[in-house]
Amino acid sequence: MREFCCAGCLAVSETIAGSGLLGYYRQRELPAIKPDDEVASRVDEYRGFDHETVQAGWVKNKDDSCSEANFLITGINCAACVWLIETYLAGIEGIHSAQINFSNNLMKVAWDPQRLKVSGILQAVSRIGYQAQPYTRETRYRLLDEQRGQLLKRIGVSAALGMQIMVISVALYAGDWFGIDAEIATFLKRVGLLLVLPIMIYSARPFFKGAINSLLIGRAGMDVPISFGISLAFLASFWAVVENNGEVYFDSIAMFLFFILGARYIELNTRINGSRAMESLTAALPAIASRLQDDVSEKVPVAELQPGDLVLVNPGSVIPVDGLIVEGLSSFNESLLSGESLPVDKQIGESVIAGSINIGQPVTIRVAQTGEQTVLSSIQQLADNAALDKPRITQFAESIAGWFITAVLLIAFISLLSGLLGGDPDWLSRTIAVLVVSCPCALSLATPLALSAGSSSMVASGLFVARQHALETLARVDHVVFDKTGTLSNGELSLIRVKTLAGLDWEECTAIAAALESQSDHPIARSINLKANNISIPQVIDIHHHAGAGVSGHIDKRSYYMGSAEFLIEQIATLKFESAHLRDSDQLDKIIVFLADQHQLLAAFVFSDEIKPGAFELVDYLHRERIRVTLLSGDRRELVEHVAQQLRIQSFHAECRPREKTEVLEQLIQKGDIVAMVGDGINDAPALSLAHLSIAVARDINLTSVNADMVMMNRHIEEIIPAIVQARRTRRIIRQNVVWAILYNFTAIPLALVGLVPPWLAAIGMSLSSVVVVLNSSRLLKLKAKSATENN
Amino acid sequence: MEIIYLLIPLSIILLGLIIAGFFWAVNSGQFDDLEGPAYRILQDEDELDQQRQSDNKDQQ
Repeated sequence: MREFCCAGCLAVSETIAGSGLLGYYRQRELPAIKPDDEVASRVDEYRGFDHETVQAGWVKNKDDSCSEANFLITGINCAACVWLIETYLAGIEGIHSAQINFSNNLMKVAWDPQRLKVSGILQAVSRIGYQAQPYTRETRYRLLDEQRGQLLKRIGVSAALGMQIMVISVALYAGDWFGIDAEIATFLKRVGLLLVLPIMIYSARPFFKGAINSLLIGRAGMDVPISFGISLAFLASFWAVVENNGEVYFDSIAMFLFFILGARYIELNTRINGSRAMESLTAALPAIASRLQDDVSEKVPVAELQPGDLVLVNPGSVIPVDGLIVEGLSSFNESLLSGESLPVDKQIGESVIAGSINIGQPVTIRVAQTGEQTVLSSIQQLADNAALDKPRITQFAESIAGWFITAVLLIAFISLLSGLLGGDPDWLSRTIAVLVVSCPCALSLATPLALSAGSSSMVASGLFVARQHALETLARVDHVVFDKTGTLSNGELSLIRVKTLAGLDWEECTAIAAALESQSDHPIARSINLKANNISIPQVIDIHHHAGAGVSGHIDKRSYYMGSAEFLIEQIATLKFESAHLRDSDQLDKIIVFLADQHQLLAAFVFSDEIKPGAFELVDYLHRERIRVTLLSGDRRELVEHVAQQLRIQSFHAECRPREKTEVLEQLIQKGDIVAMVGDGINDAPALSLAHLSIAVARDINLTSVNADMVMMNRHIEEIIPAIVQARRTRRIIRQNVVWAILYNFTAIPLALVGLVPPWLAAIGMSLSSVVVVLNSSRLLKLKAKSATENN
Repeated sequence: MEIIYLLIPLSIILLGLIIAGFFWAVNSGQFDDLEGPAYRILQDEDELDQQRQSDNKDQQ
């Protein structure tokens, strides 16, 4: 049997093995994401989704034995995950079918409501280590999806008809050389006109619309010359068919539109996938809450909660609203909001914030604010606003496209005019050639194509590019700022040492400690329970939690106490501490918890938040690449200094409030550094959006991510290294593409202008220049395949 | 060459059918996931069955 890091992983693996799905381990490309105990234990919350009122929006009841709904799955990181979930669910009683869309992680399930409940589906998914949540916000993305389908159809039409037009054109060109019956030529031209009509009416519509829009606001967008070119080509050809005299340019129109629609499609696709993946990270708040009415708890949708309602929040659940505690006391993990990984204790009268996790005991809260009014969403809005102020890093192609297009229109107009005035018989074909050959297709493809190839190759290493500029900026970054909590360290306490102080061996002490902590969900408790995995734990009674200080209980009629030194002294007046006990040799970043019975100290447990191994690798790499590194943390001075020394980071700022973080960043930016900020708490959001590039390290569910330029889907911080390498490759490829596109346009336009390029050659040249760009960009995808095999 | 007066209209009708088929495919969501199917073909049920068979053998 393999060893497992925690009970969660073990349980998941046993379920997988038990269902005969071990193939998953052979096929996966990335290690699975560690299941989160807190979320996995939310069985109660899952049950909430069984209520009909809650299901109203998103479950479609097709008939009595078949319901359908979409679920958003988090934790998928390669195709093997998809296979695992689908196959596992297919084997579950009551499920008709389960299908996952790998590109947006949405799962469509059809099941029999008589035999299986929604909570059963959610639980099944969590048993194999993923999280499913009902996908209720479909409408937001339906529009984008519709747009995508529509674009695809336009491409299809232009491709299918274009192919046919090509056949006719070849016949006509051949006819020019070898002779053709005038009657057949006329027939072919009429067929061409018939075939090009749907392309003009259907496929080209977005360009005409865009052109009209940009003319209305007085700007020369790319749609203007495109529309102008195809309109001119069409009208001329139309006239030629009607008059039965002159050239037709149907092939040029079809080819031209096909390529340019393809470019648009690639762009739109990147955008949709981007916003989808972002969304999976933002679904932080629960959809269900237990409302207390006359001491009876009832599951209701969070949206129905009103200020003044009483809500019961069980341990392990996320607080759905802002409110005041009216009953009970507990610890709360507010890391989502503060970035602080240690829990905060709160008692009656204190306020709790939506998005924090209750990790102690059940509490009742009175709702103060819901929805948009919560602190969480106000911070999000703050971050959104800050994002709007971000200095826009303009893309090279974009910045020159404007005047380039204007220039092209001008040149075309001049050639039109000179042709007309000079009595040149070829004036029309020459003007069309100029318009077609100068299409900034290659130029406009150059950047987005390379960027999307670059970003999709990065997804393999768990880095998600949320904003298009991220890759460009990452290549230029010369200063990386880290937020310590949870970014460079593991962000959770692990038990690193048990010091026995009274003759008992460490196993006995750990067993007692585990028994005392068995009912708690505090990080310390989890860490101890993990250690005591193979030790038999004694029965314990009368467990009493002293919020924030410690825990006490009886085992075999003896009292035991566990907690901080202050707590033990308070509980047992006779207890003696030696100063050596209070300090661990190389402490600073460590937390010590003591175990005692009524008479003496039994053991000291030393916990630490350890630095990720990848952090060393990353900082070394950054130093080698002469990228400056700064540590910016809200933690205690000694602690930050300690971490900085270990990682050999010279520049660090400790005890920073969010405002101070932004100030430091502002200074760096003023100095002219290109700053990348790597952070994870939402309190970093203002700083994150200020930096040129923001990389958010996603915890399981994280809100900062909404605003980040890049998101790390796993916690392997060293993945930033290949990201930087790939970003630089991408930049190189973009430059090659742009140089090529400009060279092409600047040689082709003069040639077309003097009449050396007929329109059909212009269309081929335009297409070929785009193909070169496509092929060059696809080299970035090949690098992805290479690095993937290296990892294996 | 009079045959093209028949063949070309025929090919246009065929083209109409092709486009109708393509529209149907887009509308029914066959182009929604362009990544997954590439892997799906490698992960068919055979492997599952083998696994279960060998499990059964182990138990026997």
